Amino acid sequence: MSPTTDRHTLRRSRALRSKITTAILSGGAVLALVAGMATHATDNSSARTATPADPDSAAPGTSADRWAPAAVPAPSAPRGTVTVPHATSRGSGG
Amino acid sequence: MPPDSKTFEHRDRGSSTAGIVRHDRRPAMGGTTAIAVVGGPSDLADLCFARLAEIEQAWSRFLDTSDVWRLNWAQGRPVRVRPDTVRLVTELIRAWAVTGGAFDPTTLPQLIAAGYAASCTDPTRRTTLPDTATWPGAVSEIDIAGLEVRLPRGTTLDPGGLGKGLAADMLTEFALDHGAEGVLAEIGGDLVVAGTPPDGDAWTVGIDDPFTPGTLVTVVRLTAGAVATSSRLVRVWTGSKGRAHHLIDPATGISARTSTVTATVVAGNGARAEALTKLAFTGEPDRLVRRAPHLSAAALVLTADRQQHRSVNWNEFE
Repeated sequence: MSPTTDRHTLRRSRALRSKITTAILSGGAVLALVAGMATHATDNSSARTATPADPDSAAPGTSADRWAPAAVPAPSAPRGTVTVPHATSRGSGG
Repeated sequence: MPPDSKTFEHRDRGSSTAGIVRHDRRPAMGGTTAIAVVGGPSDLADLCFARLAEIEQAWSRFLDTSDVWRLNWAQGRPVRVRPDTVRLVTELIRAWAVTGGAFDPTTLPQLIAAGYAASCTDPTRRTTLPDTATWPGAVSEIDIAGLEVRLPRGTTLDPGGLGKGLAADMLTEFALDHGAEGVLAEIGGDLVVAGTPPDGDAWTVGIDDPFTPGTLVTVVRLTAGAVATSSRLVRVWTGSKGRAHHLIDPATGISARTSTVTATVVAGNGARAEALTKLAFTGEPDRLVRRAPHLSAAALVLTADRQQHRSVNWNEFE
């Protein structure tokens, strides 16, 4: 029986294509995993191995972005709320 | 944050000690430091300031007993330092790497040559360096092995603003480890927040308007993270080569000549936020605003024409 006429094979083939598609679509996750492994390796290596990265080509998850999570935004204040800040950020002169 | 230097407290939630908020502001690190802790032991703010004093003793470039001073005078020899200093040196190297050198921790010889050798708060304290000190230093050749750090001969380090941001990171970690429910640490205008805010669901941080003293450009809201601002309008002096400020452009070795007046970054921690601000004081001022979202940060840059330049993700925090 030809594979193209075998329903089971065709179903398996579709399933395989679906898996491949999923894998392609989840490429970002794979890249993130690889980047995560690189991050782990970098963070465990001596600081002497550091090399300057080009921040203009850096993307989230790359080696240039490896050393800190982002800040967490708070929910927006209700419209019309007057906020008295807890503190003020200004040039430190450091 | 009240600007006075007296400790006070108020109760925000319920009758348990968990609801008590304590604020304090004291001189430290060449300026003032404010701590606000939510909950925790009654002496936690004092403990935080004691911790900060330890850090300053280790990192000040104006103290000849500090780890940084000893490193700068080691002439290529390894120096045993405190664990805090290992973390500092590691972060300085990382900051240099992630900014592609826009943050350069080795510009101290240039800063001194430009006229910034004495402490702003105690002019009797002056930074001196060996004759071998040169710029640029060899950041990639710095060795860290356990508690021993070795700078290549000629390379010197200046914690600068990154030291303040990192110290704020360490104070928030310290406060949470010692029982605080929430904490805000502000060192010389660089802030880190973590945990439960004193009221509402957000820590709120005003961004100072450098053109109109006493007013704010905006207020950002966050539940965790850091806000750091660098300005070329502070630490300004007239040296032998004319007017100068403390932000040295690593491309030229002199005070940055740029349209950027202030750069503010919101990031995951103080060390990173402070380091990224330096991207705005290079020959390409829009670099920070353009790249911040790709570096897990948001940025606001004010230029000499009084324009505000926001990264595309800045509004997430407003």
